Amino acid sequence: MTQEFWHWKEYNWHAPDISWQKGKTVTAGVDVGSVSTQAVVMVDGKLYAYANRRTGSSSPDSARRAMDWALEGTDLAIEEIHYIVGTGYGRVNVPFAHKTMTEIACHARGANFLYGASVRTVLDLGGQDCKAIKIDAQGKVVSFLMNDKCAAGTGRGLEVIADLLQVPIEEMGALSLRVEKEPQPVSSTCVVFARSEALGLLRKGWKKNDVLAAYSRAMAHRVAALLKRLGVEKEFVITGGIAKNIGIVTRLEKELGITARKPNFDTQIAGAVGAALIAQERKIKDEK
Amino acid sequence: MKNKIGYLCTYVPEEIIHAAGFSPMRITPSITSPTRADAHLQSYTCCLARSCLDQALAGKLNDLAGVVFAHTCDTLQGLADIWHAAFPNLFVETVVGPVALAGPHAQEYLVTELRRFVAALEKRFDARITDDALRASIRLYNRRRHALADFYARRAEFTAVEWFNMMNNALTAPPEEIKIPKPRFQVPNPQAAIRIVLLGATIDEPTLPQILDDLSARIVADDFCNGARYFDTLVAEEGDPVEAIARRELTRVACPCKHRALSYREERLLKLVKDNRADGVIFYHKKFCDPHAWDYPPLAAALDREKIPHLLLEVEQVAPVGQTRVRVEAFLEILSETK
Amino acid sequence: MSERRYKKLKTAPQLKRLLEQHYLAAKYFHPGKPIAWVTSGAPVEIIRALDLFPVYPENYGALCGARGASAALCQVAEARGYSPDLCAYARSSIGMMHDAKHAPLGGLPRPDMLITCGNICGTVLKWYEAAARHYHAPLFILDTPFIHADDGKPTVHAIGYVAAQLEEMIAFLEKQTQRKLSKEELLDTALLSSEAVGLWRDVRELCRARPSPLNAPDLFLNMAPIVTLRGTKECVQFYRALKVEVEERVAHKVSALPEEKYRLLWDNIAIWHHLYRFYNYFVDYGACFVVDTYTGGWAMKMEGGEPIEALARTYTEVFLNQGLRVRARAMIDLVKQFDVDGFVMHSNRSCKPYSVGQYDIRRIVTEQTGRPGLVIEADHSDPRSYDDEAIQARIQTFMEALKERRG
Repeated sequence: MTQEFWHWKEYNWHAPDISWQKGKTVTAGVDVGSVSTQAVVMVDGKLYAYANRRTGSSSPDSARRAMDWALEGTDLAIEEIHYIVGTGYGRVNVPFAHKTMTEIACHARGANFLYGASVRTVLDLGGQDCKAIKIDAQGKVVSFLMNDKCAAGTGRGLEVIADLLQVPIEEMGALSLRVEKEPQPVSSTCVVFARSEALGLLRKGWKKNDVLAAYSRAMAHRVAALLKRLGVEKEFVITGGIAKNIGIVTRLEKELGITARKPNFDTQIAGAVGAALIAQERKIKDEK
Repeated sequence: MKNKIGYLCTYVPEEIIHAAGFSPMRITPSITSPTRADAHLQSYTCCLARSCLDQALAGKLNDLAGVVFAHTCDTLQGLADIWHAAFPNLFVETVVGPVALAGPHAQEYLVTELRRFVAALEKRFDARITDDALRASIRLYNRRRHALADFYARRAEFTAVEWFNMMNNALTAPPEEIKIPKPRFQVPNPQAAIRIVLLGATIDEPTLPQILDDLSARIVADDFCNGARYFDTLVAEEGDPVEAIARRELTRVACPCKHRALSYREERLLKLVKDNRADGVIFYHKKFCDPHAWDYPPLAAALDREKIPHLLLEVEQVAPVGQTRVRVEAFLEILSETK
Repeated sequence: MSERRYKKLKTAPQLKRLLEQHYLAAKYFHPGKPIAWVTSGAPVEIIRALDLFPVYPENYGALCGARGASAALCQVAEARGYSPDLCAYARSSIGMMHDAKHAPLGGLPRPDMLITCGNICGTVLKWYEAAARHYHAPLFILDTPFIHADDGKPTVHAIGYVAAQLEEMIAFLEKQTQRKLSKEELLDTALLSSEAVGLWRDVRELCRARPSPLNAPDLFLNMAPIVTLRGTKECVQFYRALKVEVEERVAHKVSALPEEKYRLLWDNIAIWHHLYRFYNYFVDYGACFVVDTYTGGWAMKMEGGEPIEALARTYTEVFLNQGLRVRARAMIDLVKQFDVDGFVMHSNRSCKPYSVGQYDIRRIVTEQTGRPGLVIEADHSDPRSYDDEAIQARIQTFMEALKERRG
């Protein structure tokens, strides 16, 4: 089984120079995904601590473990956090959360925080699904479209082809760009058929890079179709593990005719960041 | 003696079937995946067609004396013939009603077609469908329509799941047995702030209603074949009964398989939203349902012009809980912000 | 495009010219003739007799498919919220409406009016509603009740209904054009239509010869004037010339294929985007499609009597407006008349009226004729539903089985 490269390694961090006791609101967000869980703690809307861990078999445990790890090395205890929002696939299983919000709302806020108020379209290319979200200057969701029904445009889809071609996933993008001439995309929109089509191409004598290019083009195309339905507005940002696949991203930008801001930091925490910000809003609202 | 006749679409004239001495019963898709139907229907046909046929092939509908179709979409048109070929001894008929509802000759044609259907029933079952019997059936069905309209007037008192069960029961149980729940004089989820209009072809299982209840959203109006469209408009109780039944078919709320006017469904949807002070609209479409898929872009554009938020759900046999929930929840979050 | 490994017809340039002229005239030169968008099954005789210029979006859809332009146009439609499961001709058309610059021929001329006849499918109602909204053009709907009867006979009231609507249609067109329909014009046009249809039927019948003078792509391509130019003198002239050429081929035993070993029947619309490539897979085995159920759709003879009633009958009884049993019987008749060894059914993903029922028809035809049938899944115009590998494998299995049967 090839490794899932689109997930950053497990880690935790906390701000060395923020004293949470001096803050007015201390909030947290926990994003429980099917593969990994992030916990983010903010003090007055500033990043205080965060952690990223593998999701185990139990969502409640994963949420707690991520939270504990984020708080490790700080003198903040979970009970002292004013408001916690749970999000992600396992959001209903965060027992210590005060509220749940979807990863769409949280991701939107997180992107707004991480990238700035000029962001209007967020594309999240994850391991299991892809989401296209239109947001306003405050990071509120205006509209969204999801594709969680099929693997095309997701890490899962890439995994299938990487396996088939015996290529390390993290090299797929770069390799797919090393072609003399951009081939026609594989015609099937479904990754199951694409696999058989890729096999056919190999049998015809196609080089691996060309098959990768054809597949990447088809995947980029599928994602572009989703974005066209939604309507892409500048600034356009891409988050999630597949943002690192330069082969798909380049082709996507070309098809849409718009350049995307790509992350140079871990965007995996975007959901949990958004959750923590929403938690802050809730806390302030409740106090009124 | 088999006393039930099944149907798949509410353009089938139930009163005529009832006057012939049968209980019309809607055949609805089940939640189990079709297996036998694959030998007759391609995978790119809707789950309603495939599941209903599958149930018949599995022997689950053996208590039906017949199955009646109405002319609607291409898939059901083909299904009628497939059903007839699979069950050569079964009474399988299609009432081929007009598509252009407002045409000047539609009424005359439909009346003759309905009389043909009457004659077919009479011949097959050695029955006599008198005008008196028809009028009695019309009165029964009008009572049902009144009862359902009353229920709808009080829909705020019931959960979405209760609404779903009520409609499902009304269409599948013997028509005389329609039971309207007693008034509750209280509204569940008084905090429920989000008001939704729901529309589509049919809603056949309660996953979405349950999600809406869980998230404290309220269905304030719907436009479903097995929902509001079912009991819309009464049949006149005076005059020739067949003509009255035809008149109702041509004037009641139309589904996208029929044509009344170009902006008819847009105007109707906007009115539903405004009259019911809805916050948003959810389209609940079946995959491979062409007529509703065709209406989506103009309806979505009309909603966009009026700045009414909307969500499209495209489901196969059973709405997948996780995927449906996250979309509905995210949509409701958007609506909460703008309230 | 793959090389056609069978003989090019001498009339091919004439066909090309005819269609080019049609599209050019539609766009640039039709003085005094309003443009009417018309469905393939509509009674164009009335439309032509009133001196309108009929344009066929379905034919344009086939053209888009054949030119490889469908996928891009469909995507324009899909970006606007049209489901990718809808008819590919229609999606291409919608795409063209919103992006004519990138459409073949720069798109179709805008319609002054639209006439949709439901005898081929329910999609054309919705498609033409969309077009009417887009162009703000008046729409006329001709509602032809579907025939479920096993004997294929329409009801009297259905014919009466259609005839009454034809009168309505005449009134509608007269109002739109400020002209009056002359009965003589209508009869003349109907006669021209009838003659062309008869000639085309004769051409198709000539493929009963061994070896067949024509293969499926010839049938699909040469059917175009029947659809788009039916009722004109040019159409008659073309089919006269075509018939002469095909008769010559038969007289000299000229085969469409290098060597005809198997005779096949084709069901459903052509796979336009892989027209040559796909049929060449069969040519590899020496298999020729000598007959099909699609191109004969216009082979109904105009019956005598009152023209309005004759038109009502002709256009209500078209192949696609008939039930499963009638279609199966038609196929059985063709199998016998053309002495075919097997048949291939295109399970056309975005054409439900033609494809739903195929599995049962296949069983009935094999039972009654003993000939095996193959089902191929693809789409008439959208190449994204075409899995070349899988299709080749299926063809191989089928043809080898046919070979085995021969012994």
